[in-house]
Amino acid sequence: MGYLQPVTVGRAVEALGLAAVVSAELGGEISGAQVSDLLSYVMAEGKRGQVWITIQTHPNIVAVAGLAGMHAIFIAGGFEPEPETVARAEEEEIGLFISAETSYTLAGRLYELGVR
Amino acid sequence: MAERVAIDLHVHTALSPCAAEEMTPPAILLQAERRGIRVVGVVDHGTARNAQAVLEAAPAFDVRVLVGLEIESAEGVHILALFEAADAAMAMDSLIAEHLPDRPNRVDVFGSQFLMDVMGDVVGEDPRLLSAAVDLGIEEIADLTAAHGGVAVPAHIDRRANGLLPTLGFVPPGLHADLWELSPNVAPSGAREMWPELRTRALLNGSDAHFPQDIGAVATRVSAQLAEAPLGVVDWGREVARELLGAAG
Repeated sequence: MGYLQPVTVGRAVEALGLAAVVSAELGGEISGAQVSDLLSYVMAEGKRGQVWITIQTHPNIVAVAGLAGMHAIFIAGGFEPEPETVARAEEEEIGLFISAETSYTLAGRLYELGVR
Repeated sequence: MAERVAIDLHVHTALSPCAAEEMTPPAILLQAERRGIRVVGVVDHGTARNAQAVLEAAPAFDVRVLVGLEIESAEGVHILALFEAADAAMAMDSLIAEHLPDRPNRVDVFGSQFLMDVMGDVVGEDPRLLSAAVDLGIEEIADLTAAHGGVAVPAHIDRRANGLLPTLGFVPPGLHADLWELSPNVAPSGAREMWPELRTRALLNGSDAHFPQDIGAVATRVSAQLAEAPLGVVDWGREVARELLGAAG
């Protein structure tokens, strides 16, 4: 699939219609994605440059994304991050975006966009 | 060495949809007594509506009884809220009721939720979907439990399904608890190897019994003197934590 353009966080946010809570890492090139609500799984499997789709909103998600070197977290399902989660994402400069769509839909759109 | 006795702070009654109908207040306490459990915590998912019956039955048995709820947080993490009196447990029950989803239980899928009296006779069924997450965060539930005079114990923290560590990755700094429950699958020493952050925390095993034969299947031991110490539940929990940490050190 070499003809696919690299997808940046900014481009994904626009294409998926995400609302920005913490607008960081917009220029970061997305190397892949995780869809999981178990933070321990993402601690083990999350990789540098990925984005993470989850319905978890707890502050621990920022620490986990930071640990793995992920660019951004997409919170699906219409859930809103806790204030502490937002504060930590700002501190750690990790993108935090929200959507009313399901994790399934966001993942499908991201795949369509060319993220593999 | 001082005599050590078993405690099991996590046992369900028949009000929990996945628990056996034989889990009546007197049957639970009889089994605990037979197994030599000196302190038993009796809870149900999302409610404490059998707590009164359990406490009424308690004087007939040689077991110290705590009652309460096992609450599922917004993150999907289970936590015990344990009390010594029915009114405190029911105050927490009323609060939690406001935060449960407005959905009926499906008996064919989840099982029956029996309300019982002191004799263990069924006096009704709870129609709500009790095995569901509330819209409160795990830290908030722990703090609310303390505010109601209870002891919050994060439940089966090692377990992949609804356990704190797999679900949230690590212990959130704002989660205040003295005691941390492990599932029957791992001993405190093994858990501390897997999660070094647990070295400074008081760990105990709970059976999470849903059937009579599982009560006390694993149990943590504390000194007999402490098991029977005439302390309120919050101070008692703190002393248990202190003793368990001392034993681990």
